[in-house]
Amino acid sequence: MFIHLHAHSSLSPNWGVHSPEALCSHAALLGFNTLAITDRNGLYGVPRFLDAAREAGISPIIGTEAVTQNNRAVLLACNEEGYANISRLISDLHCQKNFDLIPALSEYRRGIIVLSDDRKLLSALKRNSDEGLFVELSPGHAMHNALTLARDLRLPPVATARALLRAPPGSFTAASDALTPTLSQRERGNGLSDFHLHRVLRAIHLNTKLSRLTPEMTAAESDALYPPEKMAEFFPHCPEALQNTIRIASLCKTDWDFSSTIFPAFRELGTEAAFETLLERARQGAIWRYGSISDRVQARLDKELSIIRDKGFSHYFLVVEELTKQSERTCGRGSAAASLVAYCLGITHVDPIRHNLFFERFLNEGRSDPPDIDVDFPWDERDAILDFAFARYGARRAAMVANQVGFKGRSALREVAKVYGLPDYEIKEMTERISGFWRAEQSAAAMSGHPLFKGESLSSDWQEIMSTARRLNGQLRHLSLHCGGLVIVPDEIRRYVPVEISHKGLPLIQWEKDQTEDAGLVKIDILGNRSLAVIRDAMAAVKEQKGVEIDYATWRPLEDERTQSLLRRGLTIGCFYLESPSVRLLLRKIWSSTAPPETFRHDLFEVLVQASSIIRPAANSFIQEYVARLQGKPWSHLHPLLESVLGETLGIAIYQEQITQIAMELAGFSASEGDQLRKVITKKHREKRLADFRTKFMAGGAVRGVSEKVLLGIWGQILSFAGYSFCKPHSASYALLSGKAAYMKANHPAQFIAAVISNQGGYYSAFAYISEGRRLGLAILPPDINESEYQYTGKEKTLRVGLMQIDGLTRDGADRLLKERRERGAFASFKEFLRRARLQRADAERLIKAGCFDALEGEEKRPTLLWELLHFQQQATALLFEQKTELPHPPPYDAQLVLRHEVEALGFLVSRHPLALYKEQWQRHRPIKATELIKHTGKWVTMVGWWITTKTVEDKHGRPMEFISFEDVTAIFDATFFPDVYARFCRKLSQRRPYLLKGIVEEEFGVATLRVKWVGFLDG
Amino acid sequence: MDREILHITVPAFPIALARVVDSTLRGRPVAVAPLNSERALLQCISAEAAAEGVHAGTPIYHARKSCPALIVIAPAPHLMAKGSQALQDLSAEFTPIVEPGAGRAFLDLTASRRLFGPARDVAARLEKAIANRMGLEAMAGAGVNKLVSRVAADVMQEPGVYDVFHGAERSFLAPFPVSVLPGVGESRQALLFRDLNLQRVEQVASLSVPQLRLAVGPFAPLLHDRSCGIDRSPVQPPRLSTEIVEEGLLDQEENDDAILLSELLRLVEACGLRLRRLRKGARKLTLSVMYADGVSQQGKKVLTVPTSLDLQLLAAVEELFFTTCKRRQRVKGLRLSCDQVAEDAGQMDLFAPATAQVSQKQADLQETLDLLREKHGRDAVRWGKGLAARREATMASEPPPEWDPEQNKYMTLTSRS
Repeated sequence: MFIHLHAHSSLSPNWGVHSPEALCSHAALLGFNTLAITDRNGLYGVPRFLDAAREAGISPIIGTEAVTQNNRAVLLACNEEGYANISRLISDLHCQKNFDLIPALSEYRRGIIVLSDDRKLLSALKRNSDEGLFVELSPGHAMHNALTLARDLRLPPVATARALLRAPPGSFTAASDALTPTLSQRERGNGLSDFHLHRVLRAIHLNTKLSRLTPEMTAAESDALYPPEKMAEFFPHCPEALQNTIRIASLCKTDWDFSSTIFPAFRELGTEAAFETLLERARQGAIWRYGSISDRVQARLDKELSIIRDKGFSHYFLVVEELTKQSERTCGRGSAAASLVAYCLGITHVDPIRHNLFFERFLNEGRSDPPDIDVDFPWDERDAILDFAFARYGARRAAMVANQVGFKGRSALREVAKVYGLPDYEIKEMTERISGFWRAEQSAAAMSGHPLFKGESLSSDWQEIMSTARRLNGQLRHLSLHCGGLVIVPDEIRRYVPVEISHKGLPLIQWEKDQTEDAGLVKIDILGNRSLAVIRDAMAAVKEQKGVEIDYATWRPLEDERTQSLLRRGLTIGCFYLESPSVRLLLRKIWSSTAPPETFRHDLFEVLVQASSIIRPAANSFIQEYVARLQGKPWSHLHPLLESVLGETLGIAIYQEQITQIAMELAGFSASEGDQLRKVITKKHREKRLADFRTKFMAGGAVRGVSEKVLLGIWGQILSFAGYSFCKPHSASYALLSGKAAYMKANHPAQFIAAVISNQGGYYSAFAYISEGRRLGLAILPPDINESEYQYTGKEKTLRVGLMQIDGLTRDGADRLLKERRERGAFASFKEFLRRARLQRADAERLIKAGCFDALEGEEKRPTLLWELLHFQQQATALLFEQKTELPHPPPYDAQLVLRHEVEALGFLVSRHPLALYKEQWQRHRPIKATELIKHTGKWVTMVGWWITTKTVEDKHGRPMEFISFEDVTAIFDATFFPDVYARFCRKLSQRRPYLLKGIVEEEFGVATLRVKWVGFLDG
Repeated sequence: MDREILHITVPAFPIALARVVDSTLRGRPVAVAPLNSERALLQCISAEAAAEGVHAGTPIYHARKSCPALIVIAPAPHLMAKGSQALQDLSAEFTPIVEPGAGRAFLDLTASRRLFGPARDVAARLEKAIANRMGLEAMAGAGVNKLVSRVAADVMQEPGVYDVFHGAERSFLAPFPVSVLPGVGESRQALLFRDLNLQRVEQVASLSVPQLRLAVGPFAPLLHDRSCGIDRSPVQPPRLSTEIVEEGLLDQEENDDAILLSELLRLVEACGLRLRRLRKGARKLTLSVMYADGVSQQGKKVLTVPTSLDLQLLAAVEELFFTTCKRRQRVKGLRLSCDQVAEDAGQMDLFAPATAQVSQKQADLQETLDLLREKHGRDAVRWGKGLAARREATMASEPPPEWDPEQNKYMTLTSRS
């Protein structure tokens, strides 16, 4: 007798409260079989809604509420055409400045049902036709006016609730029986009402406080998803309004199917022509890669091409190939690296035949969802690639994938606290201890249970803020640009999904990557990669300085002795993908001084690929076993059936696709079922289906006669892939890149380190890379007005700090001085510099303090130069009363001030290691050197250290602990803070101060780490 | 003729006052901070606390870490007001020209020399009086101007008087860091002086005015004078003004308009009553909103006709409140001042537009209210508006969720600021 045709999910930006999933299941609970979700000005959650509706057994109606400054209307899609029209209209609404809903609706009216209580809009539309026009009557929204409107215009009324909240269960029972005791707080929901949450959301969005929200700014408290009986109570005077909801629902399409894949089209070619082109390209590429086409290559090509043809992927490959060709250095990654066709087209660079990569991981007969090809470009070339793509396909056919920005733990807490009017310093005090990865619920829990918050009681304000903030989760605030996802369709993108315009001016679809994929849109990931730029820059510097040119396509970096040795010693700081402390530690363990010689006979590339993949959060115990087996520990497969799958990885599951293969071999899964299992495990929140798979896995294994114990063991290994994990093709692509980086580091360290720092954004800070440079024997030269470039420069055995490091120096100022120097030669004195470069005073001041003029004028003259600068400045501005002032001759700065200036100007000490300043203090404690750590195994030692990087994890009981890398003047060393020590000292950690550490040296596979027991500081 | 200026200061004045009231605080590390949150900042600290490494401006919990025995007390504005008044009264016994500050006072003794002797004698007597009558220890500095007397007083570690000989100002100031000079304390200037390697006052004094002008611009002559110990600024007794000011500090910092408005009504009523007693009306209203983070905003409004009736004042003040209080930040205090106080039946403007006459009924109502209150106390009759609505009660006393390690198991954090 009633159907909700106007409901908002949490994907109504800054408005909705409940997720589409929650709304669907709640509607089902209330006995509805049909539901329309009409998010504001968008179709932000359509694929999710369809999924959730299917799950809940609800027929979904797609629609939106279009709201502009002057008008408002709910639009429901009757059919495909109506959907396309809504999508176009919403795109116009977001993209056109002077959008007017009334003419737009007249244009896109076909296939749309319009509900509104807007007299102007309805009467304007009625002039054309009154088909599909209804007057919206909602309790709490001037119903009598709307009813008058319906009579005036002779349009049928329709009842809606503008639902946004869940109806409080007590409200309708209480009306019928006043004596029924009201429900307890707990049963009413989570204490805080949905409406309060909505008001907080509105206050956050409108940048105001709760007490200043007017009723127009928020929904009404009555906008709830009422059960049908309750709705009937609102409309005793107008039962037809209820009947009309049923009528409308029957007019709307509910059997939506978004499963068909939409590929881009390559240069207007037909399907057959595209395939012919691809065939030809692949053949040429194979000859380029291999010289000739062997039978094996031919067979693999045939197999791949036939699947590509069946699945209609030809266009996609050609489009990606064309984009890839736009840059000299790219790195195709992800599962696509398993494809020989991609290798031949130059999209990927790892030979899938030689390295035994599994094509089925990328494409198989049973796979229904489209896989995507990800390509990395040097980070600074990425925008040009996107420009090319948009120039080629136009904004009509191409658009970027969005990120739907909601709240995470830290932002939720901060925003709510602001609404409550707390001062910033107090908010910061709380939020800076909350990990950016935590969701709202976890942050709330952390504040009550995490050692970082120990000993603080929360005021009632904070408790209230917390209990509000923990419910902010996934409420959409706005869209942002996904870093690289590009969608290209053959016809018109706005048919499929509404498009907005990003800050950078790129068209942006309203879906994030999961929904995009669910809706069948194939995306191409064009990602920026800093390491490609590092290698490019280092190669260019080498070519310029030494005249050595490396042919990128035929380069085999791992055949170089020095590169091998560098990798085996774990000296990979700065080398892409291998630089984190855990990977370096693993590399050192594998080839430690105690490792047997046969370890050195393993194929280095294979081990690198494995090592970089096995580092997963949940795989710690497997890592131990892996190293032991590499070093010759005898082992056997858990079951003989696993031989073919886990043979190459020493019986341990390392790659994602091994999940699929294990399930196929051991439990008789089909390829696509195995692939689904992989997806379920590697993506989160799909617990229910995981249970199904487990049952199937155990049953399938039992049929093949595998014992339950073995199955459970294997299942445990499979589960360890949760969180994040990699497939072999992906790791292999990256390992190749790592090898190239390692080659540059081993052979051209100065140029390499300079490129690493200049491209920024590595795993470590610039300070850590400079220390690494020092350990590589490079002399670190301070910034200099005549020698420094904007970037860091490496030459022979020196590393020159670039002007980019000077904090606060404007880019414009730096460019101006570099241009002047390039055009008219070096500066001979400070005076000349002032005259020629004409910099702002602040810029010149920073250059002086950074020591840029020390070589020219001497360090002792720095204060004098400042006076000269002031004088020059005065003369430049006050020409009228020009006066000769004799400048004072101040004494030179004392040593302390020089160091302070250095830290202020550059962000850290360059001239020496900061620990060197505390030498007197640390000598008293007789610390051991980090290079000699291994000699003290098992002993209680004292060490000094400077904080480099940290990683907080939970131990197996869930207590937080931390791994920190420190360095002393000799080397980097890894220190472990176990939970008890962490709880005691966590507030002292991660400060840039000289640490004094006491603890026990522990050894594993010939590599020593420090188990910290006590922490102090050298400076007080 | 040389002036004779005395500066008297009670270090950590709020704490010194609190110690008079509560002897258990004596000799122990004490700090003053609002007690509503462990994260509130220390406003003032005692010497014992300073010795343990506590600084003013740090959050309470932070300070407790370096000094676990720290006793934190809440600011007591009334005690402060009383103390300041007493200090001023004692000073006024020696000269009418007294410039009071928080726990300090400048006295111009030039004219009372004949009566009370040299400044150092007055200092001794004043210190004794402060010790006897208020139970506080004060330090004094005497000199030819405010600058040197202040610096001299601040140098003193224990009660006594530092008398700077007339003519010796420049050499007295020479060894002090430049930050003692007024106008150089701000961070920007301080950095510039550090970078120009001007660390002590004598270094600034040795520069010529044109040289100084390069660094500080038009402030140079004044700065040069100050660095040489020359300060011509007079001791300024507080000026009497016709303003009617009411100030209210909220018990708890708040951003709920309903509560703020009820506080505002209280201020309006107080101002209105004072105006009516004077039989005057205010034309200019100034509202200052003081926020929890120390920022304050000010709004002004000029009325067309002077008014003294509560409801009319309130209407104007409410409007002013909504245009002034724009931030979401919690408010800790409000201050309303009524200025341009004019006689109720003053001269009318000849060409002024006809203004709405105050109806007799309103005036009568106000008069009745005033009478009632006079007779039966202020709270005998109240406006409904003034009954402070409590903040929206949304609080659910649900327990915080458990820290679920499972969920966080693989969450890693690779860098922290």
